[in-house]
Amino acid sequence: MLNFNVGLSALRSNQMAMDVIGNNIANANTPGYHRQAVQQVQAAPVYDGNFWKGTGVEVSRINQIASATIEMALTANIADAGNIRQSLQIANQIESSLTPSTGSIHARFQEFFDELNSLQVDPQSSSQQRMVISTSGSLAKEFNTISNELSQLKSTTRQEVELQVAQVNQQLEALTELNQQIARAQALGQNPNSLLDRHQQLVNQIAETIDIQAIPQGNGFTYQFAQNRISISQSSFAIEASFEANGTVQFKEKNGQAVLDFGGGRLAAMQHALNDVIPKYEQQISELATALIQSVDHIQATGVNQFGPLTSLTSHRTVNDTTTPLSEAGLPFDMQSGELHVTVYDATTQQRTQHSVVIDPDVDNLQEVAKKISQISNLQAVTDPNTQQITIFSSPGFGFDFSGQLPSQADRSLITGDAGIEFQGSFTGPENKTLNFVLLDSGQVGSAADLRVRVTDQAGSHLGDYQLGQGYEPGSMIDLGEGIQISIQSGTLNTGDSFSVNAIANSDPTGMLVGLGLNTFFEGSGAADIRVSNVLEDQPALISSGRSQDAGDGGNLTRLLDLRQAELVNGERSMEEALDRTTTAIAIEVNSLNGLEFDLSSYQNTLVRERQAISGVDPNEEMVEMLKYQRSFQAAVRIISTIDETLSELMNMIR
Amino acid sequence: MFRITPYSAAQTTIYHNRNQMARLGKLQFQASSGLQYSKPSESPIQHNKIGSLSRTLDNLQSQRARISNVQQPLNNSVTNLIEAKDLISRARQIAQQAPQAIAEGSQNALADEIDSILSRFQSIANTEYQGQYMYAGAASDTTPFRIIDDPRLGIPSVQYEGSLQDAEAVISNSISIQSAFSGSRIFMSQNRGATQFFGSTGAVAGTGTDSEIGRANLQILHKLTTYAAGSGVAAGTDSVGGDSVIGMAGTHTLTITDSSGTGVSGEVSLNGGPSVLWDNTQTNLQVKGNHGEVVYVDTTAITAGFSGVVDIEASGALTLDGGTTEIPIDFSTNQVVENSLSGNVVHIDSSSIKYAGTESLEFEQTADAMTALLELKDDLLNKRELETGELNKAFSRRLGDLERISDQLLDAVGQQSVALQQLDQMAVQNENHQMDLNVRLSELESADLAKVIVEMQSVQTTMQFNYAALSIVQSNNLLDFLG
Repeated sequence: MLNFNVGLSALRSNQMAMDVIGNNIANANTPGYHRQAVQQVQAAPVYDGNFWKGTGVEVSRINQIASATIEMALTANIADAGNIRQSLQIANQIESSLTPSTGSIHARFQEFFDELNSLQVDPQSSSQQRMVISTSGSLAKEFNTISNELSQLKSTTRQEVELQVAQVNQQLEALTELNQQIARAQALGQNPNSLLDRHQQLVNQIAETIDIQAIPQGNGFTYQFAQNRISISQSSFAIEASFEANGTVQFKEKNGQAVLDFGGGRLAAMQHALNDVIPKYEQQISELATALIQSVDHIQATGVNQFGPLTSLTSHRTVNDTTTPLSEAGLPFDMQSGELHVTVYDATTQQRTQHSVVIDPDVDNLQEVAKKISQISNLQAVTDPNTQQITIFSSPGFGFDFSGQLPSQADRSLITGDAGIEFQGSFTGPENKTLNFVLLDSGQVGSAADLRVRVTDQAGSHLGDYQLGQGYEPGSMIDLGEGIQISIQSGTLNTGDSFSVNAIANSDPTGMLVGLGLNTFFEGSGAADIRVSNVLEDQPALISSGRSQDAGDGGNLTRLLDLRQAELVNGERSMEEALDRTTTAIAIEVNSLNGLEFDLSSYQNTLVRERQAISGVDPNEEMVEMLKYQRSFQAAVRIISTIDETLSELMNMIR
Repeated sequence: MFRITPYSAAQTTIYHNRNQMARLGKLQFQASSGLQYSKPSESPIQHNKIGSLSRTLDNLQSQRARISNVQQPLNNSVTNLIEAKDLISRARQIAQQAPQAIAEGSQNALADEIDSILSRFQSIANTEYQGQYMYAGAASDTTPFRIIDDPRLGIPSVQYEGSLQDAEAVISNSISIQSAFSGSRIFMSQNRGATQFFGSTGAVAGTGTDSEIGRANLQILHKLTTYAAGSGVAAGTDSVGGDSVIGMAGTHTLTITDSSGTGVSGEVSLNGGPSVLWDNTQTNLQVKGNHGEVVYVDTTAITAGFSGVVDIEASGALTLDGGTTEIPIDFSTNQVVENSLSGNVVHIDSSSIKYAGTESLEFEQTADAMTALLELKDDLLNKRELETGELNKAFSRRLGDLERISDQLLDAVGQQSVALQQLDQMAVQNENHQMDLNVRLSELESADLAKVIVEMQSVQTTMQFNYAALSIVQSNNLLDFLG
């Protein structure tokens, strides 16, 4: 008996094949689509007479053409690329903050030193003083801006982390559900190709955020995070971000204890940025600001402005408690034990006297410091327990500063003669030293046959003997070197008479003036809050331009200018070098990330091409296949038609 | 066989197109800005070099500005000092002409000219540049030179009130140049010669080193005269203010003769000078010696019948400041007398002082420029009333002073000219260095436009090939062949 079924099976099978081809062509440009192909097998034969006879064709399955290896490589690449792109995005923002240009911090540093340079030539120029304050303000604001931008970057990154975690949790939930559907379908022996495509697409989307890998198992998939090797299967899994007080972030399994250490994806990049990258640059910028504040403040505090000595001074860096030792009083900068040198001026006699106060920040509190300062004649210091500040003021007719200038006259307590002894000049040596003077002879200054004074330093080293008798013009200057001059007035001196003078290179080795903010240039303690002192903004003439009251003395400005070359940052490099180093570091990072991004992108392109080579739809190829199945279909129709005609002929015979 | 699908072909085109567009974007930036890099990450190492070179360039520019800022006052100073030297040269000519001018009676005209020279010289010494005194050293807001005409001193003096320290401008870390000079070193004397005494009191220079400068009037004041016991003679009522003898007992003597034999009358003479009649009613008899010295004596109690020589002891005091500070004469070889107005001292050998009076002191080689002019004017008018010989010697000393000052000014001009020359050389070096750095910076920073244009062309061509290739790949479609 002729059988329609063979033709029918061919019709069905070819129609199915053409449907699959149609679907392939329809999805030729669908991202993530893997082409499918029908797998035709001959239908089970039947025993007919003595023969096994074929019964036609049937579609055994619709295959998804894909390479698991390439898919996994692509997923890993997506995770790596997501990580690098996110890192690059953050690094680009840091680089933008630090890129040298007009108005950048680099330019502000340059302007600051340029204007100081101009002021050094004419220290009393009020317009130039204002320019220095203006450029200092711009420099401080640029520090604030960078600090703010980095802080903002942290804040937006944190928000982004929260968003990404929420998004990836949703995706993970959808993935779990999809995985369950796939598992069920596969358990039923079905080929859930569309579900597999959606699954792969979802895995790749998640890989952008975390480094997930889908590993096929019997039915469905298990998942791994590359770094942790945490496997999850079909149960739901979620992550949560835990932010620490210092701004760092840690990822954990939600409702679990496992700490997740992602090796790829955007979250890992954001975690690295929040925990390491941004804090590192914040610290470098803050170290730079701190170096600027401490060095400039120290010079300002130990110099003299054009109006001469101070008559009152109030600290602006406050302590927590006036009775707590300074080292524990919450001050922003560390202090050392040592001597603070104070110079007191008598406006009537124009005489300077030198005093020192021993400070031990581990023992002395603000009240104790005030007490010690008050022991100096004509100075008084008081603390305010409400504002936690110290105020130093001088008696009427007196002034003070911390310039460490030489005293006008020698201490006469060990001098029995009546000759006046005066000091002049400014010490230019690198370190504090004491010069001791001892008379080797007795007699009249300027006329004794031999009247020698021996000069030694604090270590007892002999620095020289000077003749004060015949040949010495009373009152004339003797140059002792390093900027110190001494003159002996007419009178007598006797053997054994002695006196000494402290030559001060650093009048505040304790760092107390800077620590408490006494006559400082800046306020604040770091990049976030640095600003030019209100006092100087109101009155730029209070810039300490000299080391003495001389109008043409720009010595303190020279010290400020020397800061440009000074290795202030970690004792290794100048401020501008450190800034360049920081800029170069982020530039290298961006450059390196750009290279990595390019490589990963290139690799991704290769993997996509390889995937396309296997799973991509070529419409021409499909058309050819379609023609093949069309012809097959037509042939099957002809078979049915022929059988039908044959049977009709047979029927006609009966009729 | 590697399958290429239209999708992958398109993706390949898109991928390469993106890369080429990125490249084109960079080239566009370079072509439009002229810069090679828009941000440091494009070439971190180059950025580091650029940063370092930029800082060096900025330092050089600052240094150049500092050089200019010092060159200007230094140039002015040299001009001023040359003018000052010319003024001194004219004063020297006047000093040379002085003896003849005095002989011809035309010294007043020369004195007037010295006055105008002095006025101009003072103006130069107190020159201001941009509101700062050029010769006040670090105390650049203080008028450096002031002529003080204190009546207690008797002669005008010049006081330097500036700083002894120069104001320095830092050119670079290792080089500082004076931007304001201590006038003390330029206009004041740095030397000291012997101290000359003009007078007849017997005072001479002590052994010590004086510190007074220019000229001074040393007044030797009489204080108290006492007479050796036995004769009955005593100091007269005007003795304290009127006696002019000074000396230890025996330096001066009074010879008394009681011609009445009863102490009623007789003769008295001082140091062998002319005899004066006395009687026992005179309480203030003036007796003069051969050198004009005077004593006032009281003869009311002359011992009857006394005839003989009586030793006189007369104390005195020394003063340089018109009596503000008086130092009792101790007749030693080295008495220190201080001028309380200037704080300077003079060492006096008072052992030979015999008479009260005024010694005009001249501290050789100590006169500053203006003091020398003042002294020249005084000598032209012979205010010290010196004899012709002494006056001519004084002119000779003035000439010496002026020559010394001229040399000093010449030295200062030389030093400042050398400094200017150094600054000029530094300026040239600085500009050369700047130019070199600018070239190097330009090489690092600036885009090579020719290269950029060629690369743009190359990228454009590549993109065209890219599009053409895609077009060819996509153009083969089976549908075109199906009926």
